[in-house]
Amino acid sequence: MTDVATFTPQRSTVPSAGKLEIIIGSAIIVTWLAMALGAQWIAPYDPNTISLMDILKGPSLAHPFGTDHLGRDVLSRVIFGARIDIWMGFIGVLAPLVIGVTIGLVSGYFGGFIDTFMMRLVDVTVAFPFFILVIAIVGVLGPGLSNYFIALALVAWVAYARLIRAEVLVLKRAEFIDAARALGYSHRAILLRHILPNSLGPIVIYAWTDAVLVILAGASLGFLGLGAQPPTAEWGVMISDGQPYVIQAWWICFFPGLAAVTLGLGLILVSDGMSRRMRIVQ
Amino acid sequence: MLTTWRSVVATTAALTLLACANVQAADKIRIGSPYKTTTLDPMRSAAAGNIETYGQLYSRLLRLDESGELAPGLAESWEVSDDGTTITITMRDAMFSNGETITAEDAAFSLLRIRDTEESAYPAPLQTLDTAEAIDDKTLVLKLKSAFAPFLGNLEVFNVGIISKKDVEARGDDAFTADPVTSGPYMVEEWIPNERLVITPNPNYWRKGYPKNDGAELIEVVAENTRVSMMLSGELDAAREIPWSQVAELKANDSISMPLEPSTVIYMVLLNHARAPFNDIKIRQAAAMALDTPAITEAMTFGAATPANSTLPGALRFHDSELAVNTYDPEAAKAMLADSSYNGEELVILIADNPEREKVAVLMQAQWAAIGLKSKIEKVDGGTWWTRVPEGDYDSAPTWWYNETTDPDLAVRWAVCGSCGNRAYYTNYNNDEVNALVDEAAAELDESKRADMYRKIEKITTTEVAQIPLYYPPFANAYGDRVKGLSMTPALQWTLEGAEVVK
Repeated sequence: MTDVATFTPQRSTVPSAGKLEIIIGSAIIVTWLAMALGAQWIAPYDPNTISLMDILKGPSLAHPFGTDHLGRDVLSRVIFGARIDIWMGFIGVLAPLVIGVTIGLVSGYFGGFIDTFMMRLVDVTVAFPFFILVIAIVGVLGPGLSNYFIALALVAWVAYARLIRAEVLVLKRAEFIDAARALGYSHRAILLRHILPNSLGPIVIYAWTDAVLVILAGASLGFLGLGAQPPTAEWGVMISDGQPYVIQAWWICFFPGLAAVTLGLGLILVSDGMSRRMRIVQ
Repeated sequence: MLTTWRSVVATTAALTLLACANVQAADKIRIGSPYKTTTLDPMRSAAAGNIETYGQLYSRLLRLDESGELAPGLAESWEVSDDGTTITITMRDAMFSNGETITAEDAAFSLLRIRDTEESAYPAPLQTLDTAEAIDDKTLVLKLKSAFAPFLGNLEVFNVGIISKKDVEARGDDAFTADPVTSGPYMVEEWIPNERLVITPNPNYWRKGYPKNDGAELIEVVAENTRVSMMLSGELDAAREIPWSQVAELKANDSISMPLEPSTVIYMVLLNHARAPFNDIKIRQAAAMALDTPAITEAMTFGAATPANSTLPGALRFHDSELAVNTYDPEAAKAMLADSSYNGEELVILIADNPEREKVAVLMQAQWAAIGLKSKIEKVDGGTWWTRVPEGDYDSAPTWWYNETTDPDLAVRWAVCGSCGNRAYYTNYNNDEVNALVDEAAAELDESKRADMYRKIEKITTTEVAQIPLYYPPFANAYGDRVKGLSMTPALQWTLEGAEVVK
């Protein structure tokens, strides 16, 4: 219990702990990222080209994942869908993270009225089931991706705020913060240069798990018709499109579902691996 | 030990009883539909689900026989005066389900109630009725405001079922909700709203020997895949709206038949003529020409429907089958668009949230994009759709409608007449010549002259693209082989009373 050094990386007693998870997880994520970035070169067809001659064709050499109810190539749509879904995960985590971290920092550091007010706000938001609140907000604002991000930012920040506040409450009593204060640093400098870097660990781990939640929730919203709008290739929308044909054309739903599962798995593995490493380090 | 045995015996007995009850219930004809019964009062709704139910509970003055011709219903005979404005009806000796006689007074009351009551969902068929008077118990005199050729046909529309005046006056208008006195082949045994309506034969029904079964269960099954699997497992004897993609599969099943019965349904695209871009006839014609109607028909219904060639349903009388289906010519459409007032704005395709509507919207969007007509799809819930379309807050909206009778009068008033109340199905299409023809054709008693007038209306409205016709779908109903003689008429009525359980 001395200083910042507590948090500097130390040699882990079990060097391989969590390593495998991180490697596999990162490999999956990097693969998906590459597909998303290179979609126009990798995908064999344009994702939105309708071919009325090729409706509901099963997987074949020409269409490895089959075609959907409008004759669009499912493989190409899955690859292009990665763009939307990864983008959704990125923005959907970043916005609440920034808001939550800011509020958590200020609230934990200054305490008093701000803290009470912010934490009651958190309580109120947490009292509602996540999904219902998001659907309600999107329902009011109208369907679409940007409104989904707004809804997420309004709802998902609370988890970040809580996490970082707890860290700040401990840190602000640490001796190195006292020292910084005694040396006359401004609140801003203390918050940004001493407290923030030392409290980010759990947030980063949580963010990976949150990305899974955000992507799956976005896909669910797409399935319900509230997320990405047709004809955008988005995994949830694709599953919803395929649902009426699930009996005779399972591939329309199956492959986007598989895509969502693998991406989610990759993110979970990384988050899991990181938290195991950190636990050992601490 | 003794008590255990006793309870086993009791349970067995109870189970046996239950099993018997099940066998009895299984004699009912089970019909699954996505459309539910929401009211039992024939006046209060014009929605699919109720339309099918009304026909089972209430007899009308006239009925359609097996060949689709008008036949006597509760009216045993009728006489039309030479000028066509007075109809004298002789009532049949018939009884309500409670054993009371159906009189001319009841008939007059039922008709006027539909015409005059504020809550009446669909008073249009009786708009030309001036007075309805019961001379005696058996004689009903109907006076029309002017000669009106389709009037007799309108006495057969789903909502003009005859109800008991005495019952309504004694128990009030709400009596229908739970337990109506009926005049049709069936009466209500049990109604669980949002689940099922169980009907049982009306012992006093006027058609002797009917119904030929022990009643039916009208079950609400919303998910189409569930209806299919319930058909396949024998849990349903008939199902409405089998998804087009599964018609072929069910057809191949030996114990299920899929007759694809003719309907007066038309799928089409509403265009808003009141604002840019579709106020310009050139843009409308280009938009129509850009759509490959036969390909869309094939893609949407997997070949089950016929491409539509006019703004009116193909199963209507006097329909001109010679009219050519809209020509698909993207090049000409592009040129026409370049020559029009279109300035590249993005128009709205408004759809109710439904996979079929979404599919057709995506198809339209792609084919319009090919000629440079930009659009965005707006998906809203059904209630919002029905608010925005009447308010004219849309550019285009793919949807469908059906006509209650095979006579075109109500159809032209609904879809293309700009002066008939709904501004040509909320498109704001308004052509004085068409409006005049609608009234002239209704007053014309000469069949061949009437036919010419309706064909003229079809031709003008199709050329001017009042709406973009897409296709004429049949009813995709599935029937199990446990029941014989069940079918659906073009007017959305089950021929349930003649159906028999054979297994």
